[in-house]
Amino acid sequence: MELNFAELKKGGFMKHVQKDYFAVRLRVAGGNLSLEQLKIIQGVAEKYGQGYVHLTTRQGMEIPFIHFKDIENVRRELIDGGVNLGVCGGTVRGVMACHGTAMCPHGLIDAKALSREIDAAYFAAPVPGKFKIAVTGCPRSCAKPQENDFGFEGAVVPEFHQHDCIGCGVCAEVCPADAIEMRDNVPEIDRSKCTNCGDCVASCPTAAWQAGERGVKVWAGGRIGRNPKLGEVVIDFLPVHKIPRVIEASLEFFREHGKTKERFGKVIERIGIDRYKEVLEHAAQGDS
Amino acid sequence: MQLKETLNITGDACPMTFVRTKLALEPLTRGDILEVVLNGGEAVKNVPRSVRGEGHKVLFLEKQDDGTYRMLVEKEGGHE
Repeated sequence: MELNFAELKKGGFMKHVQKDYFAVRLRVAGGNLSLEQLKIIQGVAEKYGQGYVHLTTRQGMEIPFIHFKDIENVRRELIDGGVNLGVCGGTVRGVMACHGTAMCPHGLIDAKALSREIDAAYFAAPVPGKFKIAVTGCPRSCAKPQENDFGFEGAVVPEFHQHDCIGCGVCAEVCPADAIEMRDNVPEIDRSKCTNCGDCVASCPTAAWQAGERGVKVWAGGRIGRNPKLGEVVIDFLPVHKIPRVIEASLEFFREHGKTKERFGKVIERIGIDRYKEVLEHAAQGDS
Repeated sequence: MQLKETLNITGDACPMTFVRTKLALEPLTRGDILEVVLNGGEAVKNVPRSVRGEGHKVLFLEKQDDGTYRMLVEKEGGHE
């Protein structure tokens, strides 16, 4: 039986130290696996593995100790059961997410739903090096977009409705950017300081501060590995519906300028952050 | 509408601050007023809006000279 290692790796099979054994990586979007999927995974791990699964650092799951003779059966049983295989190498990897508005009181965007949409559109897309995306619901950054090649952080533009305000000043007290000041018992916001974190909206006891447009802060170029570096903010506020445009522009930028196995952040450093930001700006322009 | 009770949660940490406020509101009748003394920071950031989220009305919230906050909550809904 011929083994094509490159093909196996692309399909989410990784060679073990032990001769003839592989770990199979599963496709997980936003950290969710249904109980039905877990039953299938349990069945495969019992039948072909060594009775355990490995949880990866990026909300993924792997079944170790699959013998190479079983690879086709494992692949078929997983896919027939609704569990797709993960990827390795130069591809868009599994998309991470926190709970977001699905259940977290701090969430500003539906991070899980967004991660599923990004996964559906871009998972396994070929690029020069690995490309990891994370979606987090708010600046607390539980899904760590700063550590990923590309990431989104929930943001909201606060709107003030004076007739509901009781002048308590909680918004001014909690604002982490010191963008709100109380003048004659009325909050005054300095939009140039506001980071769209939504803390004023979340803490207002009378709903005088309300959520306006929702969007994301965009992070790019983060990585861990040998030369760790946090990503940087490349767009302060982007409406949610424009997210696909900046992903596509970034993948295109990566394909055009990246060398094999190079990380996205390195490409940005080499080509220049200003040039990359121009590409993003151009992609984000327009109303539709 | 009358002031029924005063609750001091300055010695509690989140989420007990909210839990104690919620428990204090439970036996009250709609329209009753609960006075709550709470800390700045996390407590004032979370408790008032959580109280509103439960359907009650924050009538008054003011910082005191000692740095704590005084809040008046009107009970809405609940026991009719």
